Amino acid sequence: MSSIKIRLKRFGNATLVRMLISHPMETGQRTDKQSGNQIPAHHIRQLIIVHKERTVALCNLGPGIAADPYFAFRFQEGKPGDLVTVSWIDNHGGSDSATAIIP
Amino acid sequence: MSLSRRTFLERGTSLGLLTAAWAAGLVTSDMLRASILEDAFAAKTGDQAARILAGELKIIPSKEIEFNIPRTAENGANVPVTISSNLEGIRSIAIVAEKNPVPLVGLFRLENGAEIYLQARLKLARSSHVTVLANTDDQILSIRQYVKVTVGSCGP
Repeated sequence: MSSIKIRLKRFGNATLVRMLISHPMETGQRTDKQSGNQIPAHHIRQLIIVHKERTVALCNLGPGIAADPYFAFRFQEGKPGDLVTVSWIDNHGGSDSATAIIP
Repeated sequence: MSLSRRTFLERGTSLGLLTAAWAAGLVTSDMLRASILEDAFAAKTGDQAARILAGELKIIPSKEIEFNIPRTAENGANVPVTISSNLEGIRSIAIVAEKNPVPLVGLFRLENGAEIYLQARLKLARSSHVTVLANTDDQILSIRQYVKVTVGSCGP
């Protein structure tokens, strides 16, 4: 199952993209209470939102984003039927991508 | 659906082209220069991060950027923010939480018809100022808000 949920909504000329990504966003500062070991950092590094092959948002993220991150962006010119793709890559090389259609 | 690093990189070609432009010295001052990203994320204080991001540009306080963040956060592990502006010419936005172990929270390049509108959720290690920096062609606009955290996050 995809780690990304996308919701698209049109407002007149603009399109609102909301996304919820399931990711631990581990900061690397916490220690495991049972073993006392530090939990290694594991967070999304880059997030890209693409509308019809044009990148509307390119985000570089640090560990300061909350776990299971939520983002919203707006862009001009979305039409019903257009595809919007959200992709992320994390500091362990993990990645995921999901596409939704503007209603 | 998983995505290989290769396809991901290919999809990010716009970034690749920009990196080439930076290397050629075409783009001089931009918060998203690839070379400063690593330094900016490695900064230990909010001021340091802001200075690295601004480079030679001046940081000017501005009321033209709308920055919505709760003044009191019950839970520092999840603090919602909304940033928007009607100003023309803003190309990227950075969020800096001054007392986080990694003060730079994120750097968002909004381009190709994206409006200056952004919602996200942050972690705040403890009560501190949160600063938004908006990069225009010749200056960095900033706005900040003090947030009191009643229960800290385990710390980003």
